[in-house]
Amino acid sequence: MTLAEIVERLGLCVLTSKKIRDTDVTGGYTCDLLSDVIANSKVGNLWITVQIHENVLAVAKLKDLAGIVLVNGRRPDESVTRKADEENVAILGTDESAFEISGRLYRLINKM
Amino acid sequence: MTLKELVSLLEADVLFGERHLDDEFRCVSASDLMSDVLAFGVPGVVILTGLPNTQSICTADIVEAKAVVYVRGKRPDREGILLAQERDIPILSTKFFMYKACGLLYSRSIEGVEKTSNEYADSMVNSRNFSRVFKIKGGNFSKAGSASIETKEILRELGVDPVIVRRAAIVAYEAEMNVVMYADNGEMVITVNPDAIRIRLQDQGPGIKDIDAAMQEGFSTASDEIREMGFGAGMGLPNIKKNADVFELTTTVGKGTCYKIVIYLDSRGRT
Repeated sequence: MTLAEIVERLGLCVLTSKKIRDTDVTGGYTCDLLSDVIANSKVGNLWITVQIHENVLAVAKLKDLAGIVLVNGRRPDESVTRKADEENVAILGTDESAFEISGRLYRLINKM
Repeated sequence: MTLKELVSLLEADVLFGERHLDDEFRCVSASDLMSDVLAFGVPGVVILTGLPNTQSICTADIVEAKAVVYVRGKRPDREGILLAQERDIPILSTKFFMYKACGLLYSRSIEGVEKTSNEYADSMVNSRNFSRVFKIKGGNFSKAGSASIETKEILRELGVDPVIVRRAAIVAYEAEMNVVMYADNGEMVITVNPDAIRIRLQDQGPGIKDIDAAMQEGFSTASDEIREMGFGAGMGLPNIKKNADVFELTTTVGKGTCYKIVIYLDSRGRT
C-alpha cells in the first residue's frame, strides 16, 4: 500500500509541504526510542512516535523509512518541517494515540 | 478483555502477577515516553512499552495501570521485578514489536487511552495538616520516583480523593525526575492542609535559561541518554502545569530552580 493511500485512508494530516510520494509502505514501526528505531525498523516502515525532536529526521533518512507519523496532536517546530522538506522526509500528524493509529494501520495493511 | 486473553493474544510471558490474570482492562497506552503515559494514561490502562527500566513501573504505579507489557522480548532487570512485586503491578513480556502488539490488540477492539480521565471514585476528604521533606539526589536513576510513590501512599492514607492523589503524584514525579535528570540535588517538601496539597521543590542545579520556552510542550534540553530513558520529550513542565491549580517556577541560571505547586482538594475533575 502506498503512503499517499495510507494518508488518505487514515485521515492523516500532512505537516510537510512536499507532495506525498507513492512510496510503498512495508509496515509500521511504533517507538519513541531513537536507538531502537535505528536498530530494528525496516526499509519502508512508517514510523509512529511522539518524538518531535529534529533528530527524528536523521533516523528516518538513515533507515529509509516511508515517513513519520506524530501522534497525540504533537506538532514539530517550523525549523524541523523546513528541514524535513529539504531532506525529503514526509511528516504526518494525527490527534489519535500511538495505540489507535498503529492498530488502524495494522488492520489496513493486513486487510483485517 | 482480561489480562489472560492478552497473554494468549500476544503470546506473552508473565514475569509477575499471575494472580491478576483474570482482571479486566479497557484501554491501552503504547509509549516509550513515560511523560506521555503520565499525560494521557488513565487508571486501569495497560501500558505497552519497550522501556524496561524501573521508571516504567513507577509510572504504572502513579497512573494506576493494570499491567505493563514489555515488547520486543524486553524484560526488566531484577530491580524492576522487585519493584513490580512490591507495588503489585503485573508485568508481562511479548516477543512482538510494539506495532504488531498494537495491531493485534486493536483488532480485538480495545480502546485507546482517552485524552481525559473521567473516573471519579467517591471518597471522603479527610485530610489533616501534614508535612514531609524528601531529599532527591541528581543522577540517581535507580531511586528516581521513590519520593513520588511515597507521597502518593501518604496522600492516599490521608483519605485524599483518588483523582487529586493521582494529579499530585504526577506533578511530584515530573518534578522529581527533573531533579534526577538535570540537577545535583534537591529537596521536595509536601504539605497537606485541609484546603490543598502544596509541593515546594528547590534544587541546586543549572537552572532554566528560558522558562517560557521550557513551558512549551516539546521543548527540551535533554541529552540523548535521558531521551533513551523515556524522559526529555519536553512534556514534564507542561504536565505539571496541566495537573496543578497553581504552578510558580523561579530559577537562577547556574544556581537552581524552585517549583511551587498547589493542588486544591476541592478541585477534582479539573483534568
